[in-house]
Amino acid sequence: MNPAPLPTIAAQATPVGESGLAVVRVSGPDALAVTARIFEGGPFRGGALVGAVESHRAVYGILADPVFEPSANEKTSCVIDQVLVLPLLAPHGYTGEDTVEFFCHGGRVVPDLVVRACLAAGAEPAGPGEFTRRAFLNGKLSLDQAEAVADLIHATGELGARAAIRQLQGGLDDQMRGIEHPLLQLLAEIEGSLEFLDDEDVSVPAERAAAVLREAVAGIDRLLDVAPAGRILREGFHVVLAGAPNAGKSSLFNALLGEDRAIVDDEAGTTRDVVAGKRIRRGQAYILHDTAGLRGDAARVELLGIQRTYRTLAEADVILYLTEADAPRDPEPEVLELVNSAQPSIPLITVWTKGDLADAGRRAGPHPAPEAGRGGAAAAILTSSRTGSGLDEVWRALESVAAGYRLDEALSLGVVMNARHQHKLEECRRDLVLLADELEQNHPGGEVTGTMLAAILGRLGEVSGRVFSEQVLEAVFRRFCVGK
Amino acid sequence: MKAPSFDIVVIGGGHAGIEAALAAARLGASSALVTHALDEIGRMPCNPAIGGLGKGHLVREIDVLGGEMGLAIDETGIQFRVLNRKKGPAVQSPRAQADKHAYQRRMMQAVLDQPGLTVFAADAAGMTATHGAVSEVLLADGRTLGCRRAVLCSGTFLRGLMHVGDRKTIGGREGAASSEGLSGGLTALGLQLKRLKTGTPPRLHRDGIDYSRLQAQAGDDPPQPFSFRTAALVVDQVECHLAYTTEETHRIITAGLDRSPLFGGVIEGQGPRYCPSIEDKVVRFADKDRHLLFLEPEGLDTEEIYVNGLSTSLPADIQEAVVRSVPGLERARILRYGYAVEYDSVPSWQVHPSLETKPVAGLYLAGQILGTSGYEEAAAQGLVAGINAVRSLDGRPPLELGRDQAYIGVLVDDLVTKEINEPYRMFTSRAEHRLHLRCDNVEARLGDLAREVALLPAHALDLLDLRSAMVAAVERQLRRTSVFLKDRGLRVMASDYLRFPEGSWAGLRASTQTVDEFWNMVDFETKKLSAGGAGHLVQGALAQVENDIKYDGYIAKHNKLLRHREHLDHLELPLELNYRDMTALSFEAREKLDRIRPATLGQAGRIDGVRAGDLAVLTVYMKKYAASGEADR
Repeated sequence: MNPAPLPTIAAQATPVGESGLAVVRVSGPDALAVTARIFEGGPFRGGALVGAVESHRAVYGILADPVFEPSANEKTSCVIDQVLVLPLLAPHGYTGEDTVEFFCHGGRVVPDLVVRACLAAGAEPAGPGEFTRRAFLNGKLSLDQAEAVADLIHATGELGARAAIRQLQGGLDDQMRGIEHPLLQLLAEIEGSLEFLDDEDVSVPAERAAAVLREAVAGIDRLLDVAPAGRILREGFHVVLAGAPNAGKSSLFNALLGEDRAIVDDEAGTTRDVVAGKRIRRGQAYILHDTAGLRGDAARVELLGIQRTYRTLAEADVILYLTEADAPRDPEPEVLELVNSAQPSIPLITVWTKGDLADAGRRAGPHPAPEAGRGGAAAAILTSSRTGSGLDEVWRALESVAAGYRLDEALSLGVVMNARHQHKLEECRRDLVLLADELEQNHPGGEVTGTMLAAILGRLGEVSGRVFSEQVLEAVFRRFCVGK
Repeated sequence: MKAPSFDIVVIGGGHAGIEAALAAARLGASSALVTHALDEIGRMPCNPAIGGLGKGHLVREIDVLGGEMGLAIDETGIQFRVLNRKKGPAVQSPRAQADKHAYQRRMMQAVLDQPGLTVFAADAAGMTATHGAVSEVLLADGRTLGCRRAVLCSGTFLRGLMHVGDRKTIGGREGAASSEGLSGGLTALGLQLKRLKTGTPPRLHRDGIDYSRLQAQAGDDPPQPFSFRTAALVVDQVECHLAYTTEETHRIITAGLDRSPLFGGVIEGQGPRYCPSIEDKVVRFADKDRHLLFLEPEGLDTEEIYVNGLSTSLPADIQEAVVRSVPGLERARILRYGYAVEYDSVPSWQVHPSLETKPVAGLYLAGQILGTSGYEEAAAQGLVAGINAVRSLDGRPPLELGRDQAYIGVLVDDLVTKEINEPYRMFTSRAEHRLHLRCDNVEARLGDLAREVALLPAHALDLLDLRSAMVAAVERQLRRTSVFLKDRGLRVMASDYLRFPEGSWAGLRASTQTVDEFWNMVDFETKKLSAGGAGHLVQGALAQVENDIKYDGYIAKHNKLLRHREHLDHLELPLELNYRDMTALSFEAREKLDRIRPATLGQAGRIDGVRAGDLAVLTVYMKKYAASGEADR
């Protein structure tokens, strides 16, 4: 029952963008053949393999478009780059298949040409995460590691990459162990008291058991606290620009992303009305969302657009509320209400736009801006997208809000959770709280507490990957002489 | 002369063999039991007791499914106690001291009187398989028994080696020969073997014990039987006694450790952690200044006293000194020394949940040979193996109990999924569904199944019917009766009153005004049961109703906690899956899955070393496998 061999795939393995060096990876049964068609150097000569390829030994040479007619006297192909080629033969490469990695010059152009050359030589484009999927299927990675690598691939900034690497090294695992161990000890004590002889009556007081559970809940809370940070490190920090039509959102959006912005594109497959762009500052990715203007008289205007804006606001990590510095009147109360109701607790920064226009100073006095400075954010900032004034201030405000998400703490814990981890932990937390409440209110017997706790530990094991049944007995035997 | 031939031949007359042979014969198969000697049947070579924590549950289940153990101990017990009375009802378990000779005679009689069962007092020397299926059992005297199915229950006899200090004796246990030839035969049949170890304490003569210095422990009054078929226990109960080791004892043991085969590395097998030898306890629990010993009489017609808690393989002279260092035992005389025994077992991943071996069709294993410890664990497997051997004769599916149905289900599932590194003993903590798997509701849990298994005689099935009718009637009436609770200032349904920690039948009876009608109904039902000869089941039925109500909320919550895994038990894994090629699995998971070949994804998940991630991978492969199967068609 062996499925057909998977096709040979190629893609850039390092992040797309400005960089000195880039790696293009080719993986699959034809990886060596593909290489031979485009690379001249070492055992790869004249479009064919001459001699043996040594795994993990880099070869220097010339990479060019594929040569399909080796008989031609002149090379018709176009040289692309001088590259280092690292063959990793099965099963030793990252994916467990024959793999060749091309180390070429970075930037946007060269790696792209290398990939195109590989495709022209017979490889297929690799889908997102496909190298990892193959590594997983070939037994090179555990599920947890695969998840971490997937996060690494999607990690947008350098900080995100670092956190993902820490998880590969077991950051979450360490934290989970710290939560599980006291619970395991408690369970062993309870079970020991049940299997113990009548004559030496031992039982675990409900209050003490409840205290151990609460301690575990606190531990889970610490992990869950940094869960949003994990997402921010992984996906980027979502900044949503909102305000009335013509408040200057699109201008500010473009000004903030700047000329040298890394990637700007329409958010794939979503709305016409919400446009997203990405900018990396100090290793952290920020995803800016430009939204449709909000109006109070929603019934009359594009209801659909407003709903989309609202959904975007609901996923924001910070909201930039834009209002014209020289606006003839105060913002409509309905607009404020809408912005506020999307996520009442997240930071909101008020930004006055068009500060270069005459008479902007009119607004220099106290302002009716909506809850200026909410969530620890800076007070209102006066900007001009035309002159660029105030933009740095906006960025500093955003960075300060991002710092409030305890990204560093998440990094130092080495914990970046994905949605699966977070969901399971939330469930376990809820179950632990219920059990602690039950213990305090009704003092159930050890047989009840033990049964429940064993089941909860089983669920925690789905995050940590550990199985406890034998460990519990082992702990019991270590502590008790069981009889009869 | 043509060799005699049977549907089923059971090898071994211990606690597993008895249940297997009786079940096979009672279900109508022509059956034979091969045992070293008639007086080996039902022997209690270790502790002369039946039941105990977790084990009492097993005996109650064996009884309701139609096994013999519960009836036998009810007739021959000399002290009955329910253990863990201070703990919740789910973890309370009956235990009884047996008169070991009476128990043996009782079991021998049951076997000899059983129609359709022929007993051979002979050593089994081997087995023959034809086309991968067992076909003959060979006896040491040269005779051959033809068979369609064989159940091997050879206990500790396979290459048994006993140790007392550095003195080694070949034998399955004190005073009995070992089976040397069978081990090689099993290897030839394709089964792997593994050394295990267990031990037993010295036996004292009762006359040398100064009982005035020991604390007496009496049985329950009234004593509670194991079997639902036992109307009343007729027993003059004896006392057990408690004694304690001293620091002097520990000093003697520590000084003698270098002469212990356990610590000298002479014994290769792994001993049970839960039943440590006294030398183990002294080393591992060095901070304890004393250890508890139970002095348990082995019977009414014997002078032997079993010293529970003093299992040892130290040399004889040290055993003497150890015993005499215990207050009250200064002048005690050792009748038999404690010893450790090493024996071959067949690692249990080699059997299906039916207990049929994977390499040899028609060969079933049960009891200590599969790595378990204890008479009760053995009897449970014997019953399952006997029933399944018969079922397979006419192609019926095996009896497989779920982990949520019975401790027997937990036992068998653990055997087929776990790596057994020490003799396996039942514990309530092994049963994740233990709030439901109680001693008080065995009749309700397994009644329907017992009817399907069809081992119980008709009158016993009637008892089960009467009991379940009463349970249903009481439950119905509880929901129709309301009571006023002065303490809480509440009027509640009687069923909700029982849910309170303080709720009890006595409390309900005390609130007389409105519940008279309820008690009239209970009295009426009680009379019905008494008229049907089931009066003795009334108290148990009421206990079940109360505990069902008390645990109901917790069971519901617990089921919710386990729900996400439950479906895994219904996802069947094709037995022919090629795990070795599933490179996405961890190496350990691949190796274990390939060897164990679990029947369901749930079982796969319970294998030590198979992680949640591996299960995810398996699901992917199963989908692929199912898809390729479609494509093939």
